[in-house]
Amino acid sequence: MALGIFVIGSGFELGFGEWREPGPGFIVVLSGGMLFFLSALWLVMTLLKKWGMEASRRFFPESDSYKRVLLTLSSLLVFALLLERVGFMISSLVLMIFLFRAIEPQRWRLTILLAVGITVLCVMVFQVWLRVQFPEGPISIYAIMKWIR
Amino acid sequence: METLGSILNGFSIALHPVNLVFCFVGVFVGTLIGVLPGIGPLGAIALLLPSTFYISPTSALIMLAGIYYGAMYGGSTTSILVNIPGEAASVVTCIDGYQMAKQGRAGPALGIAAFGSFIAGTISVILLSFLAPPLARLALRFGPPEYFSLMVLGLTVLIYLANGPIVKALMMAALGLVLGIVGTDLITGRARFTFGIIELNDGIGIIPVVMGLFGVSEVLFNVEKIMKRQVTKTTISGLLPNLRDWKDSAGPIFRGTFLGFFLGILPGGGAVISSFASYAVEKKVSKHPEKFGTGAIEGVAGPESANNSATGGSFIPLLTLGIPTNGVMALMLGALVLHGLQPGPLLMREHPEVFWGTVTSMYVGNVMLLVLNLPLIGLWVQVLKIPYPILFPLILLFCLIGVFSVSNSVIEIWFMILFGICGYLMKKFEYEMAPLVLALILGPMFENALRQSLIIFDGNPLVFLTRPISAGFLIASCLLLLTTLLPWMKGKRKLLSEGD
Repeated sequence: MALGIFVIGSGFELGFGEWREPGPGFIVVLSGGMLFFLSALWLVMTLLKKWGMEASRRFFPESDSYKRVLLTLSSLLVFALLLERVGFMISSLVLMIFLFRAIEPQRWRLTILLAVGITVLCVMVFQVWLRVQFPEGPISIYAIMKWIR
Repeated sequence: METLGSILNGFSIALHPVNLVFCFVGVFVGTLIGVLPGIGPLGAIALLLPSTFYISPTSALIMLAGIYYGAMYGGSTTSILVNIPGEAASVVTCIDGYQMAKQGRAGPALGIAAFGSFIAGTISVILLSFLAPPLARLALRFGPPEYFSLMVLGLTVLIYLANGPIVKALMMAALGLVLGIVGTDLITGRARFTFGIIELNDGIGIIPVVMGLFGVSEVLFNVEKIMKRQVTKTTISGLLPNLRDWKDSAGPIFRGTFLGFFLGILPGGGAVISSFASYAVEKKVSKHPEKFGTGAIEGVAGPESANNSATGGSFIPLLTLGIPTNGVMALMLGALVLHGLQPGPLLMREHPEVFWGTVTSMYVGNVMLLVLNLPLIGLWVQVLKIPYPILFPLILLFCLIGVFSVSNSVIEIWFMILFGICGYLMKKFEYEMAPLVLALILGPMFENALRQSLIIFDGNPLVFLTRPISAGFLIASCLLLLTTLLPWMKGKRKLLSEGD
């Protein structure tokens, strides 16, 4: 509902225009109004339905579920932060090692093997073959390839 | 006669060795990602989209289309053997397919899924070949009011078929429209909801939204519990269904094919909805509805045919009207635009090689899939044995690569994470994501059609009702929404969502 009000307000600010010449805020006001009206309707329906009902079911199925979800999410955030600073190769290696160890821990040997294997494969396929312009970071695949040659 | 000539010309393009290789790559990757739960055709297409910069538009579309219909084939394997859908369109196949596998009939289930898919895929391509040209001619008569009303109908169909309360689905469509507004207004050039972020000037990209809502949120949902996937221990022998199986499946395959194709054409329809609709229809027409859920082959044959047929159908609005009906088609549109082609009624006339090359490659691809799927079933089973704790980091990495590779921007990764959290919460609170995504895709076109109609027709909102085609679409939308209020129709909607 709050989002609906914000959208309607922004729509009028942008300029609603008139029916003959709708402004940039025309559809903004209409869709914001729809969002507000439907949210209000749903709120009323939910309140009427919940009246006298039992407490809602648990949000997480297991006691440590929230930890797994938060760890997975934070790994993505760290990847996004690292990518431009240390480059694709290191950030994907860190991401893989973290996910293989933190969520459902694998043996260290398998973790390293998989993380290195997947990273090398992704670098070769996406960076070298498909020429995706990933940030290079301190370790450049092109420098490594040049050195090998 | 003209169409037959075009089809023959299309075959000469599709059978070119280079295009055959791209077709094979497409169907192979499609089957693989269909088999692997967690990364759908959309994710795979997003990953491979940048690679199409370097190839011809025809080869690009042939490969991307191959991924789409290949994923429909692959998805059934996971549903039948593991009881986890490889992709969303195979959710309903789990119900009876897995039961068949538990009874030692995995072979016939996999076989009928492959044959049904092949028959449906082929018929849908034939229908596409013959229906697209007249529809493109009709589309030339469409003005902004017709486009607007058609999009209203598409959104209404999706809302109608959504699980759960209609108000929630409508709310998601409204939210999708709001998200679709973000970016520069094409008519006045004013920035809307960009908050000074340059990347938002072109609007919110469909890829981070879809990867977040469907990819990341799915992983977050799955890591909540330690997931033990059990590949059903059954010897997969005798993939050829017996005479009795064929007799039981013939009707569902043909009904599923036509239902899927026509639901695929509608904006908002598509593979997922048609598979559910087909299951509901088969249960309704069956003499033994009680057998559904206990391993009825009709419950596999119908939906698997429908979801393959829908892929062919969903190309019609894109190639003839320029309207994408789902996320995958939005990426196809992106691929065409990347190559400087404008999908719409003129595509067939101006670039027949792209249109007919793609359409006929689907015939070729369907044959490849049948040859690929049945003998390689053992390989797909091995792929399925990869445990989820090893698979999900890969899925996340592919989502990250896919999002970054399309835009070369880290901010898109942030958007993906944000939409991943939103998708996770939406799953928890049982909000439908499909109306949001379709509204986001159609939003800018929807707005343009509405504003252009009002400008052209002097601000007269009645123009949508005075033009017959537009009025037809709007009346159909109203009737559809009104029927949800009738008690017996409520029961039918519930039946459609039963399989979820």
